[in-house]
Amino acid sequence: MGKRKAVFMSCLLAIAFGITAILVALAEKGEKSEGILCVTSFYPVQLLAESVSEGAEGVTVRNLTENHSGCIHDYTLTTRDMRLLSEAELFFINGGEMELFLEKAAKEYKKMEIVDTSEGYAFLEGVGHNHDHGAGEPEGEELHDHGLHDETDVASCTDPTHHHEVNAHIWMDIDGYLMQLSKVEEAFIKADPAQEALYRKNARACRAELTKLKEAFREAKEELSGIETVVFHEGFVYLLNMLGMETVHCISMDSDTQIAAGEAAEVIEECKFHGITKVFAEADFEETVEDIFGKELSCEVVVLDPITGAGSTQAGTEETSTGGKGVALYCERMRANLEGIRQTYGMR
Amino acid sequence: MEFLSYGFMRNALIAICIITPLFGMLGTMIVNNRMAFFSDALGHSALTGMALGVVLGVAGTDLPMLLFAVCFALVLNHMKRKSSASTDTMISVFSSLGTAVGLVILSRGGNFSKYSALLVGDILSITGKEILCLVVVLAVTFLFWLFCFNKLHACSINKSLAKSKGIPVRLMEDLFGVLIAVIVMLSIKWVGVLLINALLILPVAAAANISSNMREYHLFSVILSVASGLIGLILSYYLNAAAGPTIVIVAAVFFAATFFAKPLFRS
Repeated sequence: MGKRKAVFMSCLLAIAFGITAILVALAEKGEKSEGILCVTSFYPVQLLAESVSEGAEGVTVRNLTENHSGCIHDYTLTTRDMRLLSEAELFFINGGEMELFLEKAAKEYKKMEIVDTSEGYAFLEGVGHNHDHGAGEPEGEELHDHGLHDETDVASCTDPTHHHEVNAHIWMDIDGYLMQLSKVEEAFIKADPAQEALYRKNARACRAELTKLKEAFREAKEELSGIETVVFHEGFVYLLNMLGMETVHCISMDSDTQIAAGEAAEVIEECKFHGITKVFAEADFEETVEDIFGKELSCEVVVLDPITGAGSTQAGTEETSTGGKGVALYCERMRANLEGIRQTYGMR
Repeated sequence: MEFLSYGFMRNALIAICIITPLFGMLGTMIVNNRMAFFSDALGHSALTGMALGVVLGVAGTDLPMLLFAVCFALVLNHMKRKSSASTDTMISVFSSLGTAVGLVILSRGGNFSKYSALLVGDILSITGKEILCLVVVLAVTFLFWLFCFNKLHACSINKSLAKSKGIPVRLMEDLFGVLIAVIVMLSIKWVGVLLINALLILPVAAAANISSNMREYHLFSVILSVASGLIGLILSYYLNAAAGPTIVIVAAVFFAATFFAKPLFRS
């Protein structure tokens, strides 16, 4: 090797490593939180943890995917996330295969308490599952498959060879969210028994708000029950189930999902067959759904809020959240969803 | 050195110390044999390998990916020899097919998001067992380089001449194809489909800018590859950026530096 090349390479590497060292030295060190650091996997769980721990001393709630809107199926952990996890004492996840990125991280941090807030919940099946209707269906129903089970939960299937993908969006079911609330409450009490009374009080307040919300849905169910529709977000299946509405088809839309032509045709046929004139999508995909189905079917695309991020558009309005916090904000957004659905069907 | 206090960063650092010299060494052979597009096609075929694993219901997708990539490499080599079409065309056909079949199967039911992590990779989630696997691959690559580099290089210069010297050209090409397939598949989960070729080619291209013989070419390639990996990983930690793309950017900066320094070394 020539002397000039050796000098050049040495200088190049010295400059590169030197700049890196300076950047490292200048980099602000992450603030180490005192007390209990609680990390949540994404927005709906964050709202729960914030509400339950409100006013608790020495408890910090941080959300892992704070800059990520939408569901987190495709989320990849960054170094900041890994650092956060390594310092966390409690980690609340939604569960139901929502946090696929955690498989390996969980093994790394054995000291961290991972609380699966949906453990024990009877999930509905995901959109990948089709089934044939048997006897007893209305005439003509046996000619096609529906995209999901409406009433039957995954746990009820006894065929071991039958792989299920679960619909993990249980925060859109108030009963599911109540169950998640209890899991969060118990985990906080276990980690910090000294402040048990506060956690119990906060959880009680949340439960009261959610029960009121559930009552509003129950009242609306009388008017909306039996209406058939198609949805473009798996979470809306839970939402509409609470209102007694039947989702005849669900397509899970993602930023990297293209609707297959065959499935689009199937949905169009379903809509025609069932006389569906209103379909539900989240704001991000309103235009796509409108382009494919709205024009073909002359049906209305109604925007609902899946409550997957702080910036989701409220159903029926163009405004974002009015500034509520935690579970109160969840209730506010669910009420907006309910109002949007009622207006869509001309209810008072 | 705060980053070394975290287990995931220590693992990633060890993995980088194994993967980058491996890529530096392999990259020179890939570029010499004009197979840059070949390794890219293999990277894309990972999607189909993974899809086969999903369809067959295999617990882990690593084995189907590996087996598929080895078959893919051998079939591609065979088709290159038999077909009258140009190598670029054949590789392009296979690459497109490998990507399309994988996407069709994996995106069934709108579930591709589950697999999209494969596109950019995640070196932070590498485990001790997987690092051990990479050590074995590094050793095999080093042995291959030690014993077969000259023969492979002869094949890349002139196949007829290599044959006349008693070099088993076909065997060498197939062995090399299989080696690339194994390395690409074992590192794709950490590096990602979109970036694997950049990491294989950029340090080699940077080394080629300032090298005047094979020894320098290999040495510079390995040094620049390791330096890109280390600096990229450390920067990604402090900048809170994805590790793979940061490493590629550092490698690209090295390429630019050597590119502009090239006139200095003209004798």
